[in-house]
Amino acid sequence: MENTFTSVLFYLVPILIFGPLFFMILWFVGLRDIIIVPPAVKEQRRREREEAGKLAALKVRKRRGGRFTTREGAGLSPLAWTGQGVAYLLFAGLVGYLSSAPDYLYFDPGDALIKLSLSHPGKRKVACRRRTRKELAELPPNMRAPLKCPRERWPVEIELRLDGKVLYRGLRKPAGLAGDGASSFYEKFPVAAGVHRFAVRLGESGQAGGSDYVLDEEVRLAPSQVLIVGFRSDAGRLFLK
Amino acid sequence: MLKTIRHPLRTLLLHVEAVFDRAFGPHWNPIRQLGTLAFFLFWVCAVSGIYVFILFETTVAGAFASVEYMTREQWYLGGIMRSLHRYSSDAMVVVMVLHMGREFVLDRYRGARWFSWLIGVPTIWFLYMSGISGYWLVWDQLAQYVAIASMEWLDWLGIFGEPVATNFLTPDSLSDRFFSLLVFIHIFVPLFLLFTMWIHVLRVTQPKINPPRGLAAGTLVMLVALSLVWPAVSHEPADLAVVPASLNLDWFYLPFYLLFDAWGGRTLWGLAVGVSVLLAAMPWLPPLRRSKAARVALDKCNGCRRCFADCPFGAITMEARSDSLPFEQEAVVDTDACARCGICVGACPVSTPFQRAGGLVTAIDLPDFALGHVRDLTERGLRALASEPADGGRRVMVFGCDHGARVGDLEQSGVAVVSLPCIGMLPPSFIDYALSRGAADGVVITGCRDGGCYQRFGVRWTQERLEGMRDPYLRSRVPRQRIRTLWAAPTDAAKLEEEVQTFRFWLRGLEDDHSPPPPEAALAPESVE
Ligand code: HEM
Ligand code: SF4
Ligand code: SF4
Repeated sequence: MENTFTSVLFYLVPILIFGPLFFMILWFVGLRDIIIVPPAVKEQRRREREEAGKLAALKVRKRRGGRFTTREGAGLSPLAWTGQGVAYLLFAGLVGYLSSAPDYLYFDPGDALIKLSLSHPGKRKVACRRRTRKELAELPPNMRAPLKCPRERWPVEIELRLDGKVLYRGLRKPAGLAGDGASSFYEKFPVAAGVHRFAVRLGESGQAGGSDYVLDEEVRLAPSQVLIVGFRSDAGRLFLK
Repeated sequence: MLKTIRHPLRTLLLHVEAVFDRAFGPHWNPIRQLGTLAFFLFWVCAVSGIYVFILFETTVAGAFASVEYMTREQWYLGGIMRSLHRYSSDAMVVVMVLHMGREFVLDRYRGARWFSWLIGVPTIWFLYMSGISGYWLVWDQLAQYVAIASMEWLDWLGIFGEPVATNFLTPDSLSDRFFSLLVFIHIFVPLFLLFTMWIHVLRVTQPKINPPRGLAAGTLVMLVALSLVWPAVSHEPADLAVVPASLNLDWFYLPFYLLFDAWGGRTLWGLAVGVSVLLAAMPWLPPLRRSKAARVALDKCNGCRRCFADCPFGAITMEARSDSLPFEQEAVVDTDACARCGICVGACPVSTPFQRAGGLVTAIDLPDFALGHVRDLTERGLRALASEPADGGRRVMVFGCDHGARVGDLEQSGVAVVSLPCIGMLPPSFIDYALSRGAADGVVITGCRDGGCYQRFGVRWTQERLEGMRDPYLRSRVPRQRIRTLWAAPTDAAKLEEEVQTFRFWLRGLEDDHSPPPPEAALAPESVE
């Protein structure tokens, strides 16, 4: 129960704090002009309400006079009620059925799925070097770092071979405007379950066909298994999992 | 082009509507309550959602079990609430699509209605985002599939430094924090949805928001029954190390995932954005009809506010007098909001055909279909009626509307017709005029079918004016038994013709003997709402 309470609070508190704030921003940005009902319409609504009372009284009188009858209140026939029942039934049937059927065979149950998913920064294009005394003197005092490191990185290349055949080969640019982020890969390959030999190579220094990291491993894939091909940055190696 | 699509669809719609009229009666007819039903379903969904959320546990490990608890242990309340939550949200998609389709088919999205239509587009997005995010929370295999595919779809945009989909790589890469974010989405997006729904009807004068009670009750009973008979259940619990093979998709919210699997992110984004832009642009796509908005002749206007009270599109405001006439206010038309329906013309006390010959000038008029023109058409009709029809029936003047059953086809010996942009444009004095000239023995007033007025309130105001409940009244000297109101959709044309003929011979009977009571007309001669 305590859990429920805290989780309710968890949502309630931000809604209460940010909700009005967000609303106020929208309000001043232009919501006000959309929402505020023009005085003319307001006036009209007031009038409508006023008239409604008068109308109701008149309606009663007129109905007694009986020139233009209204069908309101006129009973529906049993057949009509049955018709309504059928309509509701059909609608319920449609909603109930399509909400979880027919089945969608998303993935062949005899296959396994290889997901190549890794994020790895390429090598810096220019290695860091020590600034000369002169260069240091030209910099403002608070920026006089002894190392100069241009941030741009090489794109990363990956090749994934399965049983000797190339399954994937791709080159990814580093993220970030300055080209200084990691290169990210996210690819999926369904393959038949069974034993497969994986050969992966990763090049990070900008030469085509580079192999700064390699992996060569045989794996038995169970049906429907997800196998991740990734890179463990703490250990500095490719892995299969 | 558009017309060739729309026309058969409209015929179909009107026939279906007529069938529903018979089962539900015109007031409960769900086809005319699609917008209000969507609102009602939203409330059902909101209330059941709050209950479900109380029992829900917002952790990766606990979510599935808490939903199972509702469905199995507490089936009598939690289970029903869960099912209600699912089925009402599904029904909302159906109802919304039909509502949108109906507005399209009846050509009710251009001109003054652009605002509601345009706001409808983000409403669709929010509804889908609400529904889809709901499926994440169960954290079963379907949730796993939907969540991963959604993230992959977002990743296609490449706006996240590292793909968001990597949060779902392995069982231990999904954190409670990220999961809470998903829950957040499912709470906030529906709030936005409600907000756009509200804006959607903001500019509609006197919008109908709540369905009639009978229809609401029926819908609720249906949903509860469905929940009991066919409770919503989960798939197997999610396991990120295993790909789910077969899925029981919700085909209302999730069919796009099929397209995603088949075509990939780029095509689906293109489709989603393309369709949205096209939808949003529809009110401005050709064929553009640019007739002129209603115009006020200030020297005639006495500031009586009747046009202001009757305009169904809130296009008239009453403002301080800008000339020297001794009245407090004057009517001003907002040309962008004006739908050119002419209902204001029919409301104005100055609009009477009993004016000096020559130019008929009224205080508010449609420049492209002026009241003087209506009088000319009436005159022409009356002249055509001057000769006695050979079949022995009496002579009838029909006033109809361009959006109801076509009255042009009724024209023949003994029947003259005038068609208006809306029957609400006809000042009741025209009925007096037609009858008092001696050329017509009866007058038929026709317009859109009960509750289906294209210009929203034209039929209702006409009815109330004739009944003496709304200005301008029909003078008491006018013999009421010589007037028939027959509300008929375009698909009711044959029926309308039959009624007109019956009326003609009934009028003869009126003269032959001492008036039997009027026959019960089959085309619902009665008020709407
Ligand atoms: C959850 C979704 C929606 C709800 C609850 C909703 C509800 C409503 C309601 C209550 C009305 C007023 C009916 C009246 O009193 O005349 C209305 C009118 C309208 N709606 Fe919707 N609607 C939804 C979605 C849409 C969508 C997706 C579109 C189209 C893109 C759309 C287009 C229109 C149009 C054109 C009107 C007519 C406005 C007029 O007659 O002035 N709606 N809607
Ligand atoms: S024609 Fe008159 S009643 Fe109709 S929308 Fe325009 S101003 Fe309003
Ligand atoms: S109904 Fe006619 S007279 Fe009255 S305010 Fe409108 S335009 Fe003026």
